[in-house]
Amino acid sequence: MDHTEAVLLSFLHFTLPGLTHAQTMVVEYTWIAILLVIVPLAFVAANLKRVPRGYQNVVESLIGALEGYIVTIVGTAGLKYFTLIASVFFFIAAANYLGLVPGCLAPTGALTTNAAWAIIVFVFYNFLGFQKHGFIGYIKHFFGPIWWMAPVVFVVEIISQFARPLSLSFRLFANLLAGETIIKLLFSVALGSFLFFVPSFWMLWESIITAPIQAFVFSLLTMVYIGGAIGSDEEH
Amino acid sequence: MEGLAEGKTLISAMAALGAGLAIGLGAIGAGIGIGNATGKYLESCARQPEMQGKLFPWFMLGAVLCETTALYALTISFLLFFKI
Repeated sequence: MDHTEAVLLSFLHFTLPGLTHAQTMVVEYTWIAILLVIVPLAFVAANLKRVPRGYQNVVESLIGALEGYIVTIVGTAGLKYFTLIASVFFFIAAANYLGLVPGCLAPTGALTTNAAWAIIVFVFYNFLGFQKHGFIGYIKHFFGPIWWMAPVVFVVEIISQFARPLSLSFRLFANLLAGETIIKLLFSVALGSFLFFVPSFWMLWESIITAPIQAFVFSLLTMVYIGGAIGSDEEH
Repeated sequence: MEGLAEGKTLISAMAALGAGLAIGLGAIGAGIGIGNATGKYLESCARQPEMQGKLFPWFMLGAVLCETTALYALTISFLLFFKI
């Protein structure tokens, strides 16, 4: 993908060592997305009031909803890992919205960002599984309950385990790529007509809805994987 | 291939055809899947409105896993599209 449309930070004529200019842009916009997450949330956290008003209500309802979903999917044991799940949600939502601002690019529109998140989630839930069940106990889950099916089940399980980070990162990447491409395509097709902004704005509107949905989906799958890793005693 | 334009080979033609077929056929399954999931979710919410909050994340998960197949098809389609 070319990132020539990302002009907002192009006055910063520097590239990080070992990266191309396009990759540096992704890193810069990642920093902006991180700031977009930290600054508003830290502002709320610094001025917590017993009776919430206005902006604090919005943040509290978001966090309450996330906590509710964690309890539904993982159980109350999952609330310990709220930090990771909420970080995933807020960062990806901020990054997706950043892509809709003219002159900015979405850090999640680069496969590397998504792959980094997916690997973090993958390592984290496997670590939790090993911590909870012990090395032998966690590996045993991959062999299934029937002993003579174990070799087949093991191969299938290993493939499905490694498909998880792949599908996590590709899902987000393909969504962002599709949204961007369709906006550009509609814009370029309809540029000659006086109604050129209509299809483009319609797609932009849809992207505004799908941006937090994609973030929610990523954190939802994180919850499901964590739940599968720490709760697989009860399921088998 | 004298029927094709300058610089275009049979491979480009097939890539274009494959890109269209990939996303077209891939979207069918995802459409059916998400349609089924949404239909059943709405049905069960109409029967038991108090279950709505509990069902929503699972509905979302199902819809997302259905959507993934379409997104794989889209990725393949883009890969082929850039080959043209």
